[in-house]
Amino acid sequence: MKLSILSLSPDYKYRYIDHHVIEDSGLSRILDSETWSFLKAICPTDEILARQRLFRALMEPLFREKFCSFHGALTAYLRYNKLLAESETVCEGLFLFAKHYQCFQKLIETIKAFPTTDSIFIERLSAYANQKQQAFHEYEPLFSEYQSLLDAISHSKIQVSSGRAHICKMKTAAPSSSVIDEIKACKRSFGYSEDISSPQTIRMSLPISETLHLLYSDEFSRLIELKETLHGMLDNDVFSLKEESDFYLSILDLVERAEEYGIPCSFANISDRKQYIANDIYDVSLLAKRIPNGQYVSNHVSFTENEHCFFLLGANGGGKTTYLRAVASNLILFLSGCPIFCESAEIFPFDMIFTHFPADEHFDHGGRLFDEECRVRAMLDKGTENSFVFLNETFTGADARKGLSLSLSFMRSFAKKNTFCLFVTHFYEVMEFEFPALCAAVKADHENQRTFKIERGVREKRSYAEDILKKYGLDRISLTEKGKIND
Amino acid sequence: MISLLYRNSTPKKAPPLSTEALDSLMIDDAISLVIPENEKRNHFLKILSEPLIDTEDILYRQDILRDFLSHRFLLANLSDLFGAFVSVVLEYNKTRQNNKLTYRKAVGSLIDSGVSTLQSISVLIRELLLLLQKLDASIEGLPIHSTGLLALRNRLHTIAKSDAFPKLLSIAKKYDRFTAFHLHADIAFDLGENAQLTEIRLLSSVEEMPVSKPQKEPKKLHLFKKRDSDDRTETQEAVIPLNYNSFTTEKIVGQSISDITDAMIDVANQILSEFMGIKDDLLFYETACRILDKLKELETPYVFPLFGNQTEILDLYDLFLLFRSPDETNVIPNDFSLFQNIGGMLIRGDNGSGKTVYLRSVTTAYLFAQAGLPVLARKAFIVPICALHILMASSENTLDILGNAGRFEEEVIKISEIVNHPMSGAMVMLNEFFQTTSYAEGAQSLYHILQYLSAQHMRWICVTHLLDLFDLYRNEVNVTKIEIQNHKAKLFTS
Repeated sequence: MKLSILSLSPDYKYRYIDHHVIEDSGLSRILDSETWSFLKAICPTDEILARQRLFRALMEPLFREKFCSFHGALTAYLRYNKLLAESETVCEGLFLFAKHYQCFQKLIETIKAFPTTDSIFIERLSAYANQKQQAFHEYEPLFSEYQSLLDAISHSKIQVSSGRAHICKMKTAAPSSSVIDEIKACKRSFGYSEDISSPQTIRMSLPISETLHLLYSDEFSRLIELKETLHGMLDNDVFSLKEESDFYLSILDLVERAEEYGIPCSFANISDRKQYIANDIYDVSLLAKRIPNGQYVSNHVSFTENEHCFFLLGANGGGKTTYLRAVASNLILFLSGCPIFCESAEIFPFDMIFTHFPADEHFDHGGRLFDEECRVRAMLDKGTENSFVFLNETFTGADARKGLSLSLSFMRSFAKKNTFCLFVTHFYEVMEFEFPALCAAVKADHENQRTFKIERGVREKRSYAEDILKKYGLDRISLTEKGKIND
Repeated sequence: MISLLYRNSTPKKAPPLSTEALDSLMIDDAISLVIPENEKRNHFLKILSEPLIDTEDILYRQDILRDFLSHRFLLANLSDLFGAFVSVVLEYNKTRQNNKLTYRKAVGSLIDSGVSTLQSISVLIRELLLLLQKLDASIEGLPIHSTGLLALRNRLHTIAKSDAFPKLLSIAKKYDRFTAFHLHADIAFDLGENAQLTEIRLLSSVEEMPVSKPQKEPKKLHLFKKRDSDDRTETQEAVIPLNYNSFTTEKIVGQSISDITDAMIDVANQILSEFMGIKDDLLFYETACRILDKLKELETPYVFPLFGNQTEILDLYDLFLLFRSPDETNVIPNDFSLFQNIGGMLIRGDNGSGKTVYLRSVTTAYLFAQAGLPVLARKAFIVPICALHILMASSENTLDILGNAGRFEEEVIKISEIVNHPMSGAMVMLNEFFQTTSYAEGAQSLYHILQYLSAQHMRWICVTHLLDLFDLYRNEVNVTKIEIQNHKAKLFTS
């Protein structure tokens, strides 16, 4: 069976969320592309649990340390595999193989060193390592012989005379005192300190390799024989573990970064009811903005089977998009078995996520509105009752009446299909219809200061756009003063 | 690194004097007739502008100067020989530059280029070693007493008399006429863990091919020849021609040669970094000796000051007047004292009475004393100061065109820098300061500032026409009041 610390079953057919969903959620700002390529695959429930278990284990310092050693050993093994593939001479290949073999041995040792855990992934790895280690034990004498032979061919001498050169064996490994040693001894005698310089090296070339082959023909023959035998011990199936372990470490790194800024993380319970409940949830992509610790604002999430389609309205700059991203990004992380950024949560394993943010339009044919309609319709078609849709100011390219109509129409369609949906909009008229609304709250008595809190219901049908305009001198009074000056 | 100016690598020095402050003392003008060489004077003034604070550091220099005064030929020899260091290095750099140009475009000349570099560095090493030998000979056996020169002698002796000296000299001589054509070498190498050639080392036998020496043909295994049936030896060899299409072979040989070069360069750098600076150190002593020679010629007394807890200088002369005056016999010496309980000194006198000269001679005395030099006086006891500030009236130093208010503001700015960064133990010399405003206000303002400085344990000497200051300090016993008349300083009694 192919080794994996992410997949329980190699035959499982994952469903993949679109690339732009990761971008819309903000996760692409804080994670590298290799990591979020894994986030695109939606896991089955048992796999979510299995990954969560491994993540939990990784949060223990001792386990984390062993895992990092494992990761290091994997990296080394891959590196030597690459070097071996690129080797240009027989001699180089023989030496590199020894390192390659040792790296694999080391990798097995690091797996054996894992502490006991309830992670099925680790259990499988450990079983594999046990098997391999037994084989290594049997091959030990052969590898010892291999290393001895390498040592035997490692010390040679070039004799240069009158424009010709000879290579010959060195009778002893340690050379007689060289002129450089004499100079260094003089330097020390004068009371000067020795400086540490790294030795110069030259890559093995074909002529030298061929000549050494002739010089040490018996040794080379035996080395080639041994290499073929020992090669059977190595296993390329472990290569994929490198990317998978990168993924775990990358998410853990994100967790640590979030902790520095006071953002907690937890493991969501998998709900068998269709719901998304979370307490004190954060938009972790705000880490990219380096907002000071203590200024991140959490919110609550409550989507249930009874209320699963919400409009989100409120003040400009009030945190609506942030809330949208918080809900979406944590859902993506949950569905990949990762820890999420909230105090606690209970989430259903939705089967697909769709997003529409205004920035990613492609007006191929009929203009913005047409494009938006097509895209949302595609979500409706592809989505199921177990999908979650996030729309951010969709249809604002239309006139108010049309925009409202389309918003309501699609929302009703999603509702009918039992698809979950969060829709940010400025069409306040939606409140007069059947859908519940959330609102980005402001402090009216504090010059409309943004609280970044999302509340149920809407107090005032306003976006407080003027505050923003004043800050940049585009409010009415400032524009009037500017006019007087210009007059 | 050996230094003849500093006892250790972290000497305690007062903050350096500005060029402006130093110029106001006219030391450069004074010594320019005696020392016409700009480089020497500039170097001397630079050292002077960084007064030493620790008496041990000052005595270090004093002792070396005493030794040079007793053995003038030693100073001359050392100056010549250490000067030759510079010439040798310049020659080496020139040769290297020429070599780079020669070999830049030559293809496949790794070995040639390497050999020529080895030649150049071998010449340099050889020259440096011979210089060190001469230096050792010049200082050996002399009755010197100063710590600095003794350390230099010991160091030279350690190198020149070591077993390694002739060995290194021999290696340098071996390679200083080396050519690639006669290359005959054994080069050992190991294979590293990636089969890279590592630990490339030239064994001892690199030398010119011995002439007409019968060679026993070694048994060879030729790459493209059949092996003879009875051509078996214990040591099997394979042949790769040096100019065969093997860049690696050239690289190996080139590398091993450059390894020797690098080792030699390393030794040369160590020697140079240890001894190169001494040439400049000696410039200071050369200049000092010439100044003292002139003083001797003028029959002016000078004395190495002693250091204690109060300052007293008897028969102090002004350097500028001595060296530049048409009749030096008219230069009048003065006494100066700043006892332990005295926080400051006010100096008054008519125009041309010699107030500035007095202040200048006192300041110069401090600078000379703390540079390890003798003071132009019959007797001198000095308390070293940790910082020296010289404040001249702005009209004397600037081309300010803003008028009195501008000059006054400039003076305020200057003194504010000192007031804002007080240093206990520092000395402030003020020459006709705050006279660019009404005298009554100037006196009041300066009085408060001087009181502040005293409270910060900073001493001051103030030459002034602000006579109100004398009234303000009338009852102050911790401030000495001096009047200068006809260049003679007397205690002022109102």
